[in-house]
This record gives sequence, C-alpha cells and structure tokens, in this order.
Amino acid sequence: MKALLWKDYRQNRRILVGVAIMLLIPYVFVTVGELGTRLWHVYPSESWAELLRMASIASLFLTVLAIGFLGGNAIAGERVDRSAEFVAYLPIARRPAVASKAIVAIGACLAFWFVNALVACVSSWVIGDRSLDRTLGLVFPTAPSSVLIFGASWLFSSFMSSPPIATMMGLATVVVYGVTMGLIDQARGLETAGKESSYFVLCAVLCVVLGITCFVSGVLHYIRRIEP
Amino acid sequence: MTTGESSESTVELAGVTKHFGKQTAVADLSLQIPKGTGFGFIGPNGAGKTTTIKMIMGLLQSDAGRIVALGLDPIADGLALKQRVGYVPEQQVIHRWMRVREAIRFCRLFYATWDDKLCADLLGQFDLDPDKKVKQLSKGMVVKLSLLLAMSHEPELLVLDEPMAGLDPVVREELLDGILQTICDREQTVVFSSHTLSDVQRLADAIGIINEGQLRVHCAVDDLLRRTKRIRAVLSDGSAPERPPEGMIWQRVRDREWLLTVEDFSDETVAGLRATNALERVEVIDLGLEDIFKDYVRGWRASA
Amino acid sequence: MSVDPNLHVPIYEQIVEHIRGSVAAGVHRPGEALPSIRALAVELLVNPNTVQRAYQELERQGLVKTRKGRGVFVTEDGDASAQSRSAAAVQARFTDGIQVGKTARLPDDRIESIFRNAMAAADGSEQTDRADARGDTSPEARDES
Repeated sequence: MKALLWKDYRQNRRILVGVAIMLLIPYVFVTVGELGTRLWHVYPSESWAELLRMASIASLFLTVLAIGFLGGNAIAGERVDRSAEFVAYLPIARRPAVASKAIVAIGACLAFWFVNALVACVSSWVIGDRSLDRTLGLVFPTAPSSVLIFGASWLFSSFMSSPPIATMMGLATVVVYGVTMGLIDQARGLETAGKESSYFVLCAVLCVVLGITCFVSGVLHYIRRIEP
Repeated sequence: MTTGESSESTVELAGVTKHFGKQTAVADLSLQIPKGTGFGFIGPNGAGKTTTIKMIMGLLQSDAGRIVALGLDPIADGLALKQRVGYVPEQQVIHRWMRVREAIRFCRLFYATWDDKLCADLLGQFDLDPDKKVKQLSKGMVVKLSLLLAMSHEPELLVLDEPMAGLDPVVREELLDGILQTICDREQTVVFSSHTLSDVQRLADAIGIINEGQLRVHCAVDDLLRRTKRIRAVLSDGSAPERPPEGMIWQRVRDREWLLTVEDFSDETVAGLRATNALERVEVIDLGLEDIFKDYVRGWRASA
Repeated sequence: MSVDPNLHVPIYEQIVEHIRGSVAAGVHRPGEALPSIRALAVELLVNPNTVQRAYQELERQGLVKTRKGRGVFVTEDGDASAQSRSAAAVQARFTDGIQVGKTARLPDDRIESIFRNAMAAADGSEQTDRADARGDTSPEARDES
C-alpha cells in the first residue's frame, strides 16, 4: 500500500505543485498590491489581517476549482500516458489501487481547503467585529461544492482518459446544480427566494450527498471494469 | 525446459472470439500450449496476435470461448495469474518518471516469488543504470527493463508481445540471451509474438500463424519446414496449369515457370502433378520459415 | 559453432550436422563430453528443447550416449559412424549439384568432367595447405596441381 501511495503521489506531483502555485497567486497579488500602495500611497493601507482575509477567501474559491483538477486527474491521469496499463498487468488488486488514488487526491484537497479556510477564519477573528461571521458565511458554501465537484470529476475521471474533460464535466455539474437549486428557490416564491436558511442547509446537504454518491460510483466502476 | 511431452497444458484456448465494434479481431481460436515449450504467434499486422495475448493475460475480455492459463481463468483469477506470469507488452508503459531502481522497488513488493539475486544478475547483464529515469532510456533499454521486471519473480509462464520490435540486432541478441539463460535454468513456458522469424525459429517449438483473427496453421516448427515445399515446374509449350494439387498454399505462373508451394508434401504430390499437368521439368525446393510464412500470406491475400 | 535460423534446414538438424562433422574431423574424440544442453543452447541462442532434440537424434544415430547426471559423451565407434554419415552428406551435396546441372540441361559427361576438375583442384589446394603448415614453401610443393 505504501508503494501505491508513493506511486500516486509522484504521478500527481506536477498537478499538486501547479495547484499550490495557483492558490498562492491571491496571496502574492495582495502582497504586491500592498507594497505598491505603501510605496506610492495610492490607496489607504490595509492591515495585514485584512489582506490575508481577502487573499485567503479568493484562494478558497480557487481551491474549489483546484479540487476539480485533482478529482479529474485522479484516475484519468494515468491513462493519458498509458501507465495505467503498467499497473494493470502487475498483480495489484483494484481495491488498494483505487484507495491509494483516493487518499492522495482527497488528502491534498483537504489540505488545500483547510489551510485557506484556517487563514480566513484566523485573520477574520483577528480583525474582530462581525468579520468572522461574514467570513464563515463565505467559507461554508465552499465545503459542499468542493465535495460535489470532487465527486463528479472523480466519477468522470473513472470513465474517461482525459483529465481536463473530466474536470470540466465536474465543474459543469456544480454549475448545473447551483443553477437548478436557484431556479427552484425562485419558483417557490420571489419573497422567500434567497432568504430561507433552511433551504440553504437543504441545498448543502443534498450537494454533499450527490458528491459522495458520484465518488462511490466512480470507485465501483473502477473496481469492476476489465480494461486499465 | 522439459521435452514438452507432458500432457499438461500451460495455456488452453477454446473457441475464443473477440469483436471490436463491427470488426472481428479474433474468430473461434483454439489451441493448447504444453508446459515447458516455446510457442510463437506469427501473422501479418492486425491479424489478432496482440488481442489474443491480451486475452490470455486477462487484460481484455473475450466475447466467446474459454481461456485457461496455468489452470486459472484470466479474468476471474486475474490476480493469482499475474503473480505467476511475466509479461512484456508491445509498447512499454512503465511510468516515465520512475528511475530504474524505483521501478524495481515498486514491482518487487507485489510479487511473492521475487528473486533479488536474479534481479541483480539481470541488471548487470543488461547493463542498466539504476539511477536513470525511464524517459532517459533508449528504446532497447526500456524493453530490457520490462523484461527484467517480467523475469525477476521467476514466472512459470513468460508472455512476450513483439519484444524485439524496432530494436537493433545487438540489443535483440542481448535480449534473446537474457531470455534463454533464464528459461534454461527454470522450467518455463514461453508464449510470444514476433515479426522476426529468425527469432521465432530460435525460440519456438511450435508456431501458430494467425490471419484475420483465425489460427490458420498450428504445428511444430521442424514439421512445418519438413512438410512445406516449393515446386518449380517448367510447363510444356502452350499449356497452362490444369489443376493445382491438394494442399496448395500459393502459386504463380510466369512465362513457362509455374511456382507453387504446397503443405504436406510427399512424393505423391510430384507424381500427381505430373499426371494432371503437362510439365517438362519439376524441381523441389526447400523453404525457410520466412518464405513459408510469406507464401501463406500471399496465398490468403490472393484468395480473399 | 553457429546456426542460421533463416535456412530451410531445421535448427536441430544443423546442430546434428555440426556435431557429426566435428566428431568425424576428430574435434570431439570418443569418450569425450559434448557441451551441456544449457551451455550449447545459450551459446547458439536457441531453445534448449532444440538442443535436446539434436542430442537425442545423435544418440539415435549412435554417435553419442547420454550418461544420467554426467552429460552426453561421444561413443567408442562414434567417429566411424560420423564418417559414414559424412559420406551420406557428401552424396546429398553431389546430388544437389547434379540436379542444378540437369536443370540447366548440361550433358552428363560435362557434369562428370566438372566433378573431376573440382576434385583435382581440391587435392591441389590441400597439398598446398599441408606444405604451408610444414613451413615448406618450395616450388615443388606448389607445382603438385
């Protein structure tokens, strides 16, 4: 199992590094912006806590997309260079193989999400006022949508040989879901639209359930299929 | 390797069929490969050799028929079978970022019968640099690595899909040497496909010629060489070949020369030929494996 | 020793021929061991079953004998047997040559005189070879042909 984890980590290393760089961009952006502000006194200076809060929230939204990349690449990534065929003719059972892929992918997703969420919450808490409440209001929806985008990309990745297409399908799934739930909300009555917190909770729970269902389906398909 | 007289078969195919969409890749293929022998698949490109080999390995599922390898079902008992089989695919698919020593370290953990000493011997014999990444290796070196990984766990069955394709003669000899040294010491069955007929003649006890998914010829190499002859006959003026003999594989008439290749040649063949055709001179020519193969393929193409 | 897999002659027959020739020439004397199956298979780069078949054929022809666990040895009358086999090989080659001549529609006496000339030329060059081996480069030795 350790060998499989090592193999999947190395196989995904490029994507992990790319994603890390992508998620650092908001932080770099605010740093450069702040340095520019301080040099040329264009805008009033913000506190570092405020800057970190902005950067981490932006990064958190990017993280949802990144989680789509990781899900899309998890299984299909080995089919692009055909190294999946190598694993296929070794005496490696499908269950540990897919478990290893899931651990590496999900582990990375959790790490990226938690780091950004933590920075957002801590910096908001430092700022005080009701900043933390507002932050949590933005952070919380990213969790179920991450679960859905990962599950959907993972499912498509299990069927396909193209990581980018699997990612796009995962993204499309989230968009379609969001639009659908929004339309249903509108249909229930314009006065209540966007205001009932119980509806949001329902959407979130359904989102997570859908995401997990997709993930499990992807796992089962991978275990059952004969081709690599 | 044993004399191959054991009645035990290592590989058995019965009525195996495989379609890809509308195309039939393998049609009703049946054969048995005895333990401890070498079996070579030869045939034109796209004849179905790789498909058959992949089905034996359990990498593809047949649409009909039964396959048994080492007494196991390649699909249902795939994991157990892969423990005892060494496989070298047609195209190398080892992760290109892996170093040689990393690939070895990765594979050895999955095999119960991995022999570290054999692996080290082969590493030295093949002159592989343990620190080089697969993407830095030449084509021949990657095949050697693939063969090393296939042989180091002392498999009972070695399955090689066109291992020598595209390699220079020196590397081919090194690979043959590696294969032979290992199979000489152990009772192994070797199933392979190749376009290099000289390699087939060296390694195989029996061959199967596959054309358009069907096994058209299946016999021992020596028997095939003995039984298949080319006849060169000079036709009498103005006559054309009346009736070709039974078991004719291929023929060609040019000027007064009638060239034909027959299987199951005997003295009666010549006598029968003289009886039914007006011939001036008849000469019997022995053929090598390559000529026999070419004549079969030409004959099938002509009658297609 | 090497074998040519491209020939029409099966590899095991080529091995039989080679060994028969070397026994007839005295390279392997009666009582001496031939290479093991494994060693010969690796040296020639052929299937060990093929080597085994060749050794079995040689045993059937009476040239060699297998001693369990010890290897394959040339029999006492092996060289005589090998020589008579060589005679058969010579006949086969002559027959091939005659066949070529007849197909080319050469008359019989022409074919016979070709044979005599070839024999004389072979004797002459053999004398020269022996003279060279002795270190004798005198003109008399060279004039024999």
